[in-house]
Amino acid sequence: MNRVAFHRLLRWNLRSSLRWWWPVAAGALSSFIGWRSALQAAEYASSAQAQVTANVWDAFFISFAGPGVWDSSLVRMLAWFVPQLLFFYFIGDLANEELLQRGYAVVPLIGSRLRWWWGKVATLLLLTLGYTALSLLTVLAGSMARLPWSWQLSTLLSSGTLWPLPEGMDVGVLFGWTFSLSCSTLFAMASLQIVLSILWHRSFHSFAAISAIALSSWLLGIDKPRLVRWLPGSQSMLLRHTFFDPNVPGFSLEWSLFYDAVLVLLAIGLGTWYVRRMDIFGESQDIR
Amino acid sequence: MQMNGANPVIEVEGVCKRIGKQLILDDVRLEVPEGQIYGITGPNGAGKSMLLRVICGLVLPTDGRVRVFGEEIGREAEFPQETGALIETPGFLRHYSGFRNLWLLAMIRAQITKEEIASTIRLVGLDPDDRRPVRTYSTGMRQRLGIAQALMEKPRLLVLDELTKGLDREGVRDVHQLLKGLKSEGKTILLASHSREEIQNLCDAVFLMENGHLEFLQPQLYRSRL
Repeated sequence: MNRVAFHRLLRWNLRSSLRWWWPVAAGALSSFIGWRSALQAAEYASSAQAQVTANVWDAFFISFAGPGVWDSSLVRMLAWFVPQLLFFYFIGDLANEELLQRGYAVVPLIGSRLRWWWGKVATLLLLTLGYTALSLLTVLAGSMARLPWSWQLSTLLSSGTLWPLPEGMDVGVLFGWTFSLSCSTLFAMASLQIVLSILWHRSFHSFAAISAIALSSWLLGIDKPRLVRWLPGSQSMLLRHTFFDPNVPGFSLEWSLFYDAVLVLLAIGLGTWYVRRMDIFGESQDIR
Repeated sequence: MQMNGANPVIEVEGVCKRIGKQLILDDVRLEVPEGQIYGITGPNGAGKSMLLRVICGLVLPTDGRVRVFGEEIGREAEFPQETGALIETPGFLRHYSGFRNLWLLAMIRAQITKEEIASTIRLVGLDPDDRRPVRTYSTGMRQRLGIAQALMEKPRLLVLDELTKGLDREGVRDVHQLLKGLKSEGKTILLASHSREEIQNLCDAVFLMENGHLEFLQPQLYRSRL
């Protein structure tokens, strides 16, 4: 049987799974978060005792910093959680619903269960990269409605008035770490979600489970700094890293990338093991 | 269980399928020769759909072998070549039109043109220019679209489960005419159906599936057993 070229499979996956309103919804949400963070940053700057000014990178940092330890603010938790929730919703149907509804037609056309699965993993990676890039850029765009653009961190951020920002941090490093941690954590959690959806044959259950894991990580990490580095999802909370909060032990940015990579490998490995011998029953799950 | 001297397109040898403690298929044997229409009938839950899934490579048998066009499914090929299938209720992307759904599927292999897709849609009595999303289709229209999807890549073997489910009388007649035409073109068709009319009108040989066992029905027994 002729093998379907992987680039064609990827293009097909993107075409059949993407909806026009996804970038609109994601962009609108991130712009709102950026705008709101900009208001907050401007407020911090005006109330600071020292003479400091804020720019878009303050809003950027507030938007992606996530909740810190000892911080039970629902608003900061939601700014971290809701964009993830939206992504989990988008990709919820990526693998399982296709298997249930059209698996009998799609997988034989592709010609291999494993190729179908790797196509889904690659599509998920592309969607995660796109979603993260869109979120970061629209947060910046949203915050520009209130704060000036700059290629340098503001005096508010670099003075360490609000957070003990380490030396050597500049716009590029901040953007790079934020992108890497947001993207890797989102990909790790979403990989786990699509594997669970295939194992359970239930897209909603896996969506609920992964959302519950993220929320539990937030809750458990509030007053247990020693636990934070082990909780899945915490890796995208910049403020809980030792880099920003010395009270959290052993939670380096590198550790987070390693942790996410292990989670991705475990999820994809479990999916590969299951998919290569899976039976495709269809929507009814009627075993007769 | 070969029914005539033609080359078998499908060969099922001692296939068993066990799920948990349930034995769904029990030592099933079947040969379907080229250019024939074979039918499988039987009560709900007898294992008809499961057998079709095993033949299509969708479900892996616990024991036994399936060969399609000479290739052993699961060893030499994961799925049978040149095979179109309609297994139970066809599923589509509900927010896209029928044409766009088939076009998206055809993109996977990129072997057929848009015009070929449109002509297959016409063949099953639908309008390829109908832009309404599939969610607005009736059950019968979805079934017709499912048949078009099975046919569009011009397979040599068709595996069809409950083909006329949801179709009105006229639709059933059209589909039967279509299958007879496909048979005259040399296609091999295996179908599972509850419909006595369908089985009697179309099939060259009929099998009865009961409790996972497949039994050949002599033509004179059709009427008394169905």
